[in-house]
Amino acid sequence: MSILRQFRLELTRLVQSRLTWLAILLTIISPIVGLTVYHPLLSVSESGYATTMQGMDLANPALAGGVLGAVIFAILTVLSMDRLRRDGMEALFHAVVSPMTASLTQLGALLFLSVLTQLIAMLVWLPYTMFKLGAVFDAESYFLIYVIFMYGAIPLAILFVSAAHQFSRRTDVSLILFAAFAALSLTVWSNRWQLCWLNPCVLAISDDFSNDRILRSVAYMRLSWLLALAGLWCLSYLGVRRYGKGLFASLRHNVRRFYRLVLVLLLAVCAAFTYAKQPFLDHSEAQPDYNFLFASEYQEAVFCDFWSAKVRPKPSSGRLEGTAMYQLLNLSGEEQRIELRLNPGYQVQAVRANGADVPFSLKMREVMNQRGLTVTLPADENIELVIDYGGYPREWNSEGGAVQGDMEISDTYMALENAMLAPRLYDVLQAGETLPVTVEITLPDQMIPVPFGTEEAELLDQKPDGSNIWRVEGDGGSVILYVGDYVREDIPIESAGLTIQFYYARKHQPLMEEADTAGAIRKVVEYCTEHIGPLVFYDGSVFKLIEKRSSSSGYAGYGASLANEVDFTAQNMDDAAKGGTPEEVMIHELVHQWWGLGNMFPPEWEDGLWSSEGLTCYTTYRIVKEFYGEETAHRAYVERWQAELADYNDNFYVRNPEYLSLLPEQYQANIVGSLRTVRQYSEMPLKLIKAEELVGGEEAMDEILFSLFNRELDPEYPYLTYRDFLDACNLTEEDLNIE
Amino acid sequence: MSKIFGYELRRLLWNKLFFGVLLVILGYGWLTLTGSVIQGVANTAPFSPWSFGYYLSQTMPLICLGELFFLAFFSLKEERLLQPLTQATPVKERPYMVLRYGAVLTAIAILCLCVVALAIAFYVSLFGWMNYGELILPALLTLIPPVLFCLGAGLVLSRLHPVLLYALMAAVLLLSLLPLPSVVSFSLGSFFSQFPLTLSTLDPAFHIPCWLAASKIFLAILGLFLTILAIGMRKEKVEFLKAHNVSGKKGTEQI
Repeated sequence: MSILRQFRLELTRLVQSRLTWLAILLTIISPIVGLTVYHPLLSVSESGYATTMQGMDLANPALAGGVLGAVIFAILTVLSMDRLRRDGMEALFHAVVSPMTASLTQLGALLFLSVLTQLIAMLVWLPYTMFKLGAVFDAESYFLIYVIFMYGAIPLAILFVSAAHQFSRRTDVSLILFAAFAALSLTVWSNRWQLCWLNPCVLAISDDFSNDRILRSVAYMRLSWLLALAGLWCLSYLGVRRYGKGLFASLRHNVRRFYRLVLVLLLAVCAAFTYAKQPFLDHSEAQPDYNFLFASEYQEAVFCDFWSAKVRPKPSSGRLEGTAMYQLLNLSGEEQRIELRLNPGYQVQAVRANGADVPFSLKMREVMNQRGLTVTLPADENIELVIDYGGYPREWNSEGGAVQGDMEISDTYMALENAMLAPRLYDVLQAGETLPVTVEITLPDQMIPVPFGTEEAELLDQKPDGSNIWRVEGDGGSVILYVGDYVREDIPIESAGLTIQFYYARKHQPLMEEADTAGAIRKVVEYCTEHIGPLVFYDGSVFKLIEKRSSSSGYAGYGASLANEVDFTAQNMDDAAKGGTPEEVMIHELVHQWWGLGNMFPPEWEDGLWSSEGLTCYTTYRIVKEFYGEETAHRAYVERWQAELADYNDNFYVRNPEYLSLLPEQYQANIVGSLRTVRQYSEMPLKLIKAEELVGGEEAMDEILFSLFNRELDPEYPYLTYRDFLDACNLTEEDLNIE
Repeated sequence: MSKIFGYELRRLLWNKLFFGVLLVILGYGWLTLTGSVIQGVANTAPFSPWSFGYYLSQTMPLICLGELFFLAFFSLKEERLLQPLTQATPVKERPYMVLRYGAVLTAIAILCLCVVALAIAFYVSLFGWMNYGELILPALLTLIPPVLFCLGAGLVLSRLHPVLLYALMAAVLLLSLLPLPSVVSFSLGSFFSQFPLTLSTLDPAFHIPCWLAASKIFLAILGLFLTILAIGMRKEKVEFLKAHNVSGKKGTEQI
């Protein structure tokens, strides 16, 4: 009997079974679990589940459908494969059809049925999703999210269970192995993006921008597993029992056709290769090393006059190519080796000094998402160093890959930050007082670049193919650009004497206008200006608030602040009754414009208690208290900080640090990281509240903070230290100890 | 009788099902130890009775599933077909059943000892800690009542219909995973991770509230009662002709 005919018969048999229809029906309705009880995407709110609209109504149902669909099809597979044995028809059937053919056609029929089920599920859920997402809906995202997030898990389950059954020929053993395989993914592998085959690590899905990177990452993970499980299945295929023989005798018989074994090995090698050579995350060491990022000793005879970069992002592939040029001064009269830092995903094609190729080497060591590049400079005094670089940028592996999507390069969004945009000089100081920089970037027609800082982008040229070349001129060793289809809304704040340039996605414009986001921003800025002081750091009296993709939280810097798009979703905008917590990130990042600019806090305190976060958290608490009432602010902030601090102080390793040294390096790093976070974000704000009580209340504290913020800066040491703060309060460190 | 017991035990232990279950449980146990237990449960030491109890609570559902799979092993069609032969021997039905269930319990005890040994090896290798006496009470509390209950309930349900064993497995998983109050929850994971936090002292000495002790004693007694009930049921239900008819009926359907 031909394989095709057998496949058709097997499919017909499957379709005629009531169990199959039950499995199809359950798989189709399974996304409902993601709308109700199973919410794998991270919530951005403490007071209730909140994420983007696509996350809520598309990604969560698709992920839930993937988990349940995989379980349902695993059960269907094992029951289907055991049918002949269960009914005692095996010997009779295999007299007509080879067991090998039967195995192959059974697998093919189940996979075909799973594809059919997926298509029906997508059609069934389409109207609901379109209705719920409204303007945010787009067909491509719908298709990709359902196929990659949901369907991606089902063939893996079929292959695994089918292989387990072919090895063991036991329903119970196959099911227990599948349960263990699924449990591993749902528990211990849940934060390891390459291993959680059933429940992929997806933190957030963007409404306003693209999700190419996270979709590629999940698809890649599932491809790796598909290769591995296809290899496992082929191995189990070799163990299909022949002529009443056992596993090993059948294996010896089946392996005579040599290509089968070759296929197994090939699939195993491909799976191992895709696992080891994944392009998404770097291999940074677990322990942060700030000396790797910022040199403690600089070149004594090499200086940089200016630098520039011509950057060409490739939205279709997510890659970036560029050419960076550094005008250097070598005063030593000898060859010199300098170091640069760049994203670990980039390769360097060529390095030329004054037109001639010079030796260079890319270091293997990766730290905090950066990699070293060493270049040997010639003995010439004036050197034009040109570096051709490019590749697929890699993200930091700090959370085991659970947080991905920051380094998006697509035709709707790009986050090109520092060493991801261009190689950064590591141990070379600027020649003059400033280090001028020019970046030219080629972008698709609809996209505009927004420099993170006070710089402005200028349209330089429009190409016939529809792309535009933009130029950004600035100052410094690195540049950050956010690129997207942005709308700019200017929000004048008269009391602060500045204008906020609010950049947000065009797709979100109706919601922004309806929710009066500009009004909320104005309130926060007015509060800070009145209580802390005007933003005197910006000469132009302008700063930018830029909406970013919902992959991680925002941050602030010179003249600009980022806010996560989740803060602006319809759900959050309607959630004011919860007491302001949903807008916490937006308020927090805005407050960083006052507390948290690089020149405000001494960098040597980075790992300790005193940082910009303490004052920022405290001010955020005060704003929430003013807008939403004391009870809400106390519950949302003070009680949370107290609980976190108490929990931290009770931690076994904090009380018994001698045991910490016995732990593996990764766990030590986690404990030390939590120490820093809790102290800065919870303990320090509590100390500030205690200081507020000791100095005589909120008004007295506001006066102190106002005077500190507006103090005359020492150009040699412009930092606000803990000592400055304590002296201003007339308190000692011991006074602020938290019992 | 000891020879039959040894034979039944060897059938269970020298079996790919046993090794599969053991491998899965030890693998999951290792991941639990290196994942959450190493951080210390409820702010206690990783080697405290609370952390150890939490570790056992996490592995306990798998141990119970293993136990139910062993019971399902005795309900396989092949086993049922063999029953006329075993019944034809001079060995009495009830003692034979007791021996079989004793073999299941012994196999489970070996599984539990392997799980405990893994934790002790982990503690000794990482922390050089060797105060084993503290671990006895949480081990007894965590493992014995659910194991006895699953034995009794599994035997009764398998007497009604072997497929019900799989339903019981699903129920065990649900009762372990759902966030139920400790008094009714099958797993004590939430008890070990939450109860010490409600006490006013840090690193509290291990103790259990009366209500929990009562509920676990009740579970164990219920399991024993169901086991005795199932042994009683067995003699009345299993008949040579019925077993023969089952195979004959199936044979007719196949033709």
